[in-house]
Amino acid sequence: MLNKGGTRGRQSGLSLVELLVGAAIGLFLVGGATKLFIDTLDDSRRLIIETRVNQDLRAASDLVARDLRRAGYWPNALQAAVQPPGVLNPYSTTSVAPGEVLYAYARDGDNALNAATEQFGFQLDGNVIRVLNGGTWQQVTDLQSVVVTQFSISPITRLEPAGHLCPTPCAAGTAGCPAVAVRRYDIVMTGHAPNDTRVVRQISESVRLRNDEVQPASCP
Amino acid sequence: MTTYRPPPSAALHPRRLVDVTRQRGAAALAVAMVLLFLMTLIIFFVNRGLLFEQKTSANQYRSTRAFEVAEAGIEWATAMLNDPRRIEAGAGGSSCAPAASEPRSFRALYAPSTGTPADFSPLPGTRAGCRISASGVLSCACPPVGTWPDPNPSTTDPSFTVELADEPGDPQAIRLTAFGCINQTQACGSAGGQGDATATVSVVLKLRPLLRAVPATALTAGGATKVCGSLGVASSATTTHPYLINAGQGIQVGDAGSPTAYLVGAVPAGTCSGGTPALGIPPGTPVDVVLAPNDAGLAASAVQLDTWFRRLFGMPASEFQTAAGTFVVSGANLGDLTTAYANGFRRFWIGQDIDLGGATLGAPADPVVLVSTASVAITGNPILHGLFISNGADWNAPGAVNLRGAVVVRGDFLNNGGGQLTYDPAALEPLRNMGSFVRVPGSWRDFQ
Repeated sequence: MLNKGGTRGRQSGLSLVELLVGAAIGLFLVGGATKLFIDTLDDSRRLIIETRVNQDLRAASDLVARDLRRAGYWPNALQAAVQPPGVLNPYSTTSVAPGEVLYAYARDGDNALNAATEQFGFQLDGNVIRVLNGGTWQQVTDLQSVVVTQFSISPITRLEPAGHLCPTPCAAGTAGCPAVAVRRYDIVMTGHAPNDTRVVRQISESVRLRNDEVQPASCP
Repeated sequence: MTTYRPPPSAALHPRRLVDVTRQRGAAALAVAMVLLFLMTLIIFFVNRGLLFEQKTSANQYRSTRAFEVAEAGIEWATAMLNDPRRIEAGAGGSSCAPAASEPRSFRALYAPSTGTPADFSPLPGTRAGCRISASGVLSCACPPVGTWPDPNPSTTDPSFTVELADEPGDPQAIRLTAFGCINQTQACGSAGGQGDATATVSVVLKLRPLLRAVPATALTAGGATKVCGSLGVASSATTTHPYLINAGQGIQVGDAGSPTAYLVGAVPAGTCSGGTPALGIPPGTPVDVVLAPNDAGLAASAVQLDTWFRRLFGMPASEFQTAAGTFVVSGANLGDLTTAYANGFRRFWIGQDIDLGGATLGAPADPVVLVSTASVAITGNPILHGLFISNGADWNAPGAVNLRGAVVVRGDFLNNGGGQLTYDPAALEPLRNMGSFVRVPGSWRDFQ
């Protein structure tokens, strides 16, 4: 469509008004488009940051939920079910400290808790969630993508009295009277993006431990 | 030589400068279009991240769902094992629905037992299972022993199958494994039935016997006992269980005026007529040997239902009432009771006075336990096997009971009818196998 030199010679230039109007329209268009472009870039950046924080927290909380609910598994559980005398489940004890939960489940057939292979846990250490696996603490979250500021575990235990089932019944709450502890852990995790503290995400989850704790294992 | 030919649009324009302005506009347009194109690319890129997240959350959703379905399978199988009703099972119409015409319950079919205490031996390679529709309706299949449920590939509803296995070391324990699947086309848990997600959960179930003790006498009463009419009381095992009547207060057998009558302790006033009761005792044995009146401990425990129940059966009465498999008869409806008996129930709880009429409850190796917190009357000729527990008893003519097992009355036992009451360990021993399968704490696992 462009013209060759011969035809251009016949053009008589353009007026200043035309140039200004053209430039103004062009600038307006380019400016608007650039603004839109930058907004979109910013939006997508924020979305990626939010997604990353969200994903990392969710992945960590899933890991906690999926492993914690196994606590107390004991292949010789029937040894506690026969009476008398019952054997106490060596894996059923869990301990909760601020920002830390420790639990155990059996990986072999004996009745001794092997600290290197059967003790598990999660903790918040230096804004990183860590898991106790194989006797060492390993990172679950990455400081580069999420800074975890809160990891709270609230145990909610309901005691189901079992003393009335004893050959010699005992009242609930008396010493040596067995009860079944139905345990639930409410877990809350809060974290923010490493370079943008405004991007805060919180995940809460309830984990019901499937293996209830019976204590003590025998009747008075 | 080229000559300028204005384009069609320019031709509409009166001015010749049209070409220059057009070019300037086109550049701005081109820049805007490039920017828009970049924006579109970015939007796609953002959506790619979103799509990725969708994918991961869909995987998460499926695996969680499969896990929940497997857990539902554990609960379903536990409930089915503790449901005494007979179910539709087998090759045709195996919907697991209760059906009185069928021969077996879920437990008898998949975890058959022998002996006392029961030794359960589930057969391997057998699975029952259900599909869960979107509205939460279960459609189940209880196939014949040794087979798996029909996959029914026309739907892709989440489904589970359950398998029972012998748990070594304890005859009364079984291992229950549930497989949960999403979008499977074959039976869940099979090699081809993996679907999109699978989960396996297993627990150990152990039988908790309901009655930990059974009475040692044909007739146990917390109050007084007045055996009149022509009732015969005997024991089919005189060497191991010679006692016939144990009462907290007095015992009267036969009319007080009769020379063969036996009367010790306080008994309620009233005529004692209708014949001569017979005590089944070896010849030459004094009556005192088989009757135990004025049992202070028994009388003291009979004051409260709970202490009474606990003394005799080693458990609180409320445990019996709320146990899975106990049928609570509404009102005093005998029809309700006999229908439930026909469906497979063997444990009954009655809160009101009831007349057993001429019902047939229980069979020699298939006894029943009937607990009434009120009074039980008999006016017909019932045939009963098992353990009959009530607050009061008033058995009158023309009723003639034929009972094998034992009778336990918290208050007074009054009889003016006929019939035969025989203490029979064979009818009481199977009661020790009655009970619920309960989950053993510590046995749950979802890993190998």
